[in-house]
Amino acid sequence: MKKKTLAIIISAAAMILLSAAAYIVDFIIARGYRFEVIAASAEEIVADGTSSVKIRVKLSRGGAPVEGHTVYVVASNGSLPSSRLVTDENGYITFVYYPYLYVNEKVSPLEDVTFKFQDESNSKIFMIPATGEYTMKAVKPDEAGLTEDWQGLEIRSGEE
Amino acid sequence: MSCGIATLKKIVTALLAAAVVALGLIPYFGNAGNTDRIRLVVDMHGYMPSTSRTPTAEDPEVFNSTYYIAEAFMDENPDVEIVWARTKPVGGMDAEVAQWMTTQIAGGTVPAIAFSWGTRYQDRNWYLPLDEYLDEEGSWPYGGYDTWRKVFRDYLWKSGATKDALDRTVAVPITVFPGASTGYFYNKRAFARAGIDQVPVTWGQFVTAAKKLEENGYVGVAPWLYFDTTTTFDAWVFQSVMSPSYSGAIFDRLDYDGNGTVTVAEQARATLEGEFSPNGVNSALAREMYGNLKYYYKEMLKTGWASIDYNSQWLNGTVGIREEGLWALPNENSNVVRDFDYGVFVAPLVSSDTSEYLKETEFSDGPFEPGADLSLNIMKAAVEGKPEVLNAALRFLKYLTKPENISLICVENGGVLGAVKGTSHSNLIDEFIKNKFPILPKCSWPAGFTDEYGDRLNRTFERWVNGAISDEAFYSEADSIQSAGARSFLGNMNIDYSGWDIRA
Repeated sequence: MKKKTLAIIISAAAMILLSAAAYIVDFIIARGYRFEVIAASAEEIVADGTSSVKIRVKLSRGGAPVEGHTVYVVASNGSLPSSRLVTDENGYITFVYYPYLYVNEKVSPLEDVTFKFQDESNSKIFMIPATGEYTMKAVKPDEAGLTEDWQGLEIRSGEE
Repeated sequence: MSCGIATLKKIVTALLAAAVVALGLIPYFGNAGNTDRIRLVVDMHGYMPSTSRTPTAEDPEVFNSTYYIAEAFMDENPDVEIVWARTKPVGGMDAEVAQWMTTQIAGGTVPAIAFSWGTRYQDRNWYLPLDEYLDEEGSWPYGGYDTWRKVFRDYLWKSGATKDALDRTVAVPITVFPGASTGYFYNKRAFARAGIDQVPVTWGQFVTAAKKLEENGYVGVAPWLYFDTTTTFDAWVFQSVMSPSYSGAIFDRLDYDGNGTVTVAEQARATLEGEFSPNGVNSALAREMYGNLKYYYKEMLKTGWASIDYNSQWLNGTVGIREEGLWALPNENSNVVRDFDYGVFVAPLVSSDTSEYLKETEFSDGPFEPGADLSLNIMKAAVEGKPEVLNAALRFLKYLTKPENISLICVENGGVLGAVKGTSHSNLIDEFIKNKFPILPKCSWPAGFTDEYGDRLNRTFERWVNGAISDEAFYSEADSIQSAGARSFLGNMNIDYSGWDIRA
């Protein structure tokens, strides 16, 4: 009876140690990846709700590009037409970002936009993704800027 | 000892029950101590703010604009406290939402501002008529217009989605669909392999394309994931294709007052006068409409379609055309499993290439008077005898419909346009709204008029599709159901139809 209990305890302890070791391995692997924004079509984001910014990000490991990994992108504000992309042979993903609309400080406070990247392919055991983030400064839209609504009416954006 | 355990169990059960009840009441008594503020319960359906403000990889779906709009409103109107109706079954179909509304009204907790697809429950007398508030001189407090009604795109006030059968405005539109609410996503590789060189713009072309796809080993057309046999008749093919096509062909006979729009009352009158009947004055047209719909379910869809996992078949590239809501565009764009390019086309109308009764479809450049997506009602039960709540509801609705606030909502939502003049929209739909859209007539084919008769029509149609009843039996039953539904609706609305030329 005691031997059986001991065997169960040892098995459980071994499982825990094995899991911990696997977690550490996954964690170390995740830390080996690096996200780097290598190009953006604008230096800052105009919060007009209508413009767009194209951003290219490189995923690498030990300095070498990582191909075929699925990267999930989240923006802290605004929209992404496509938020899940696969890295090409250069380790690149390229995505388009549509800014949020700044109306006034009350209903849409002006805030910088942070993009968070998460590699969904680097980890298989505990799903510890490699992550990265990049923040772009947001600016108010030009108050004189006019856009058209869908019925052809002129409207102003960014008015206080 | 066992007695003590039993007592303990009872106490724990009672405490748990009390905790559950208390949690359920939080939305309604959350700030009971602050009695000097007017509690305005608001249901904005899918536009209610998310509980989380910041998107994360684990929880990326946040919706903030209505939160900030409500906060700003409360800042300017400190006597009002907005409480979101979190218990609403937002993903629920018609019957489930009706049940929820009924329960809320009975319990005295119905939201003052609520969403129920515009005028869907008009025969239940739930909505407050809003004309006097929309048309009052000086009713728009934010400048530029002398009445609140003029802030909105004019065509929306002629729609059956804002006006009830008594010609009373009972819904305020907030957003409209980007030309269409649903469409067909198609596999470009499958189209190329099947030799389809252009997207269908008529129902006839759609049927031909589906056949070619089937001949080349593809699923010709897959219905929307959430449709099943309980929603066979009144689903999108009926609503977006058959109904506008065939009712449009007899528009002049349905528009009794000649004002260019067929109201529900006119539709009910036409039903009772036999205009939609497979055994009436337009029998050949009506039989063709029902027949085309049956053909779609019986011949174009696979047997047992409601239980087929079309999603995985779409992902592995074996579905040619997929019925889908346009709200699914961002998700589809983010799909990295799919290894083919996809496109989207608008539901094509039945046209002269299919039917001798129908004309050629006319198209507009860009959306043509698209219907309301989010429209809000003021619920009578929440404001009757409570002028302060009504006043708060009107103040919030006006604040909400400021063009800049609607723009904020549209840009964040991504897939809708503004119902008021001078609003911007997201780049996500900029390309889509440059398409050509079929010009839909301002009328529709009836689908039973009330929940009860709609359900009966659906079941009868399903039996017909499955071969359980003959053509003649279906025509006769459908006719009876539509007429009974029209009578029930007219009775509920207290509309006198004694002077109409009703068939025996």
